[in-house]
Amino acid sequence: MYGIMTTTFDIVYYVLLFFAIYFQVFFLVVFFEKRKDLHEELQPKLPFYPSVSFLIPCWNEEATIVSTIKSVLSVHYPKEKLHIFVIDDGSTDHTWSNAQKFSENTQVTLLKKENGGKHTALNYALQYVTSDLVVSFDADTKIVPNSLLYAVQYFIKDAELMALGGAVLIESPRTMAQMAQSVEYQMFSYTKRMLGFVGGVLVVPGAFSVFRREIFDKVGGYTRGHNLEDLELTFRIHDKGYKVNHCHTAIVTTKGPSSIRALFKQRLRWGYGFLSNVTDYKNTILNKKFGNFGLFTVPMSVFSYVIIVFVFFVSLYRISMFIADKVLQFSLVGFNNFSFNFDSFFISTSAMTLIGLTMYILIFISIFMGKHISKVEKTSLRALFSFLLLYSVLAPLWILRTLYNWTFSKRVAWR
Amino acid sequence: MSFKRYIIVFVITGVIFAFTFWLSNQLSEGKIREVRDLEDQIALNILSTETRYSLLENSSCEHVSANNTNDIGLNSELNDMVHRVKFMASQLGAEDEKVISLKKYYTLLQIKDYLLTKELYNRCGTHIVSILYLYQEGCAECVKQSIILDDLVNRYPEIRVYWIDKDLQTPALDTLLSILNVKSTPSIVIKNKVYDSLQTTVDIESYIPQIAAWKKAAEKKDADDVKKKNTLKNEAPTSATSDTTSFFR
Repeated sequence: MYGIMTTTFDIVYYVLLFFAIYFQVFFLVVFFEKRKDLHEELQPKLPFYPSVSFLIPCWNEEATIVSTIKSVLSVHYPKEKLHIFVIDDGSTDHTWSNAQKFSENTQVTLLKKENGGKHTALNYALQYVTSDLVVSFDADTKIVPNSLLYAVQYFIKDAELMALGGAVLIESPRTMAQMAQSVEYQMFSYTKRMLGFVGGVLVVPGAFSVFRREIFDKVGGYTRGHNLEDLELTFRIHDKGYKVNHCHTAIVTTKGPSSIRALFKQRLRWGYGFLSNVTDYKNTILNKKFGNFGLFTVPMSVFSYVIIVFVFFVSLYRISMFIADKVLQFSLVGFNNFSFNFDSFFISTSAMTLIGLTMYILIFISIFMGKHISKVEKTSLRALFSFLLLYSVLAPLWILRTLYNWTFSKRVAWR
Repeated sequence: MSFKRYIIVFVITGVIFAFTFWLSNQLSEGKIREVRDLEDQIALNILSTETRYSLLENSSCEHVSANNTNDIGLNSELNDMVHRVKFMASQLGAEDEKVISLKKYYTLLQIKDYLLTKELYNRCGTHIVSILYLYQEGCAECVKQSIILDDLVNRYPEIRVYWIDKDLQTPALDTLLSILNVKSTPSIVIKNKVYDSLQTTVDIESYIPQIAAWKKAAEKKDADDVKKKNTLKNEAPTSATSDTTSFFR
C-alpha cells in the first residue's frame, strides 16, 4: 500500500515538474528564436504621429494625481497630438480639487462622475475620445518620457495591432514587499514580451496599455470583469480574434503595495478575478482557434496554480518531517553539540532533488532575463532574496486562499 | 498555427529530464562504489588483525591494548559506513539490491568484529565495550533506539555499536540470532545479556560501568582546564594596570 502511494506521488511529482520546466523552456525557446527582434531603435522622427488620449480614472488619489498628470504631460510627444482625460469616480478626498491645477491646461479634460467603479470611469471618458489611440493609465503611475513613442512605433509597424501592454516596473522599492514585486514585475515583462511574440499575451495592464480606439467599437467598452477590467478586456480582444502585444521598452513605474498584508490582499483580488474570467472564457482553453493564447497562456497560468500548490505541500511535508525528527531527537537525547562534519556524500543526489534543482536554476534564469529585458543593470541581492523568500511562502498561500474563496464563491473586498 | 515550437520545447524538456536522471544515476553509482571501497578496507583490516592473532598464539596480549584502534579493526569507520549505507537506502530505496548487498557485507564485517572483541576478552581480559543492536525496518521503537545509540557513540567513541538488521537474509545472521535467542526488536545485547525493549541512555549507562569511569575522567579534565584558565587570568591584570597608568601619565 505504502509502495503504491509513494510511486503515485513520484509520478505526480515528475509530471508536474515536467510541465513546470516545459513552461520555462518555452519562454527560452521563444527568446532564442526572436532575440534579434528584441532590440528596438527609437526613430528620431516617426512617419506620422497618431493622436493619443490618456484616460486616467481615479478614486481617492489626492496624493499622486498631480504628479501623475505632470508625468504624462512631460512625455515626449507632439503636444497637439496628446490629450489627457482625468475621470474622478466620486472621490471623497481632495482628488478633484487637486486636479483643478490643470483646469486651464488645454491638453487636460477633467471629468467628474458618481462612483461606479473603474470600468465605468473608463467607459465614461471613452464617449469623449476621438483620437486614434487610447491609453489606459493608472492615477498612481509615472511614465518614462520615451515610453509613448516606443509604444506608438508598434502601432505604426503593425496595422493589425489592437492592444499593447506596457512594462510596469516598481519605482524605488523600499519595503520587502516592494523589493519582491520589483523582481517579479521584471520577470513579467520578460514572459509577457515572449508571449507577445507568439500572440499569447495574458493581460495588457490597466496601469499602462495602449489601444486603437476602433477596438472599442469592435468588441465593446469595459465591463466590471470581476474587478479585473483590464484582464477581461484582453480576454475579449483575444476571443474576438484581434491582435495583442507587449512592449518591454514602454516603461512606467508604480509604487506597488508596500506592506505584505496589502500585497496579499491585492493578489487575492487578482487570483479570484483571474479564475472568474477564465471561467467566462473557458471556450478558449486548449482551443486551436485562439492560437497560443488558448493553447499555451491560459492553460499554463491555471496549471501553474496546481504546480505551486503541490510543491508547497511537498515542501511543507518535508519540513514538518525534519522538525518531527529533531523534536524526537531532542526528547530522547537532548541537545548535543554534535560536530557538523560536512560530508558531501550526504547531499541528496536523487533524481527528484536534481529535477527540483533544475527548476530553481530555470527560475533564476527567468529572473535574469527579466532584468536583461527591463534594462536593469544593478542586481540587488536584497531584492532577489526578498522575492525568493516572500513568494515561496506567500504565493502558495494566496493561491490556496483564492481557491478556497473560489470554491465557496466569496466576494473579495475591492480595496 | 504551427505546433513545431511545442514539439521542440517538449523534446528539449525531455532531454533535460533524461540528463538529470542520468546524472543522478551516475552520482549514486559513485557513492555506492565509495561505500564498497570502505567496506573492502574494513574487511582488510579485520583480516589483518585475525592473522596477527593466529601468528602471536600465546604472547599476543601484551602487544594488544584496547585503546589501539589499529589493532582491533576500525571502530568509527564501521559506524560511519553504517550511516552511509542508511543514506543510500533513503536515496535508492531499502529494497534496492545494491543497498542490500552493501548491508549484508557490513553485517558480516560487524559480526566478525564482535567475535574478535569477545576473543580478545577471553584471551587477554581486555574490556571493549560493545553493544549488539538488532533492529527491523518500519519498527517505530527502533527509530528511537537508533537515535539513543547514535548519541551514545557520539559521546563515547570508545563504545562499539553493531547495527544488525534482523530481516537481512544471510546464514551467518540466522546462526547468530538463534544463538542469542533474540525474539523482538529493538533488542540490544551487552555482555551476553539480551534486553528486548527500548533502553534509554540512562539504562544503558547503568549496564556499562566503564561509562561512569569515563565520565569521572572527563569531569576531572574539565576541572583541570578551568583551573589552568583561572591561573592565567589572575596573572594578567597586573601588567595591564601598569600599562594604563603609564598611558595616562
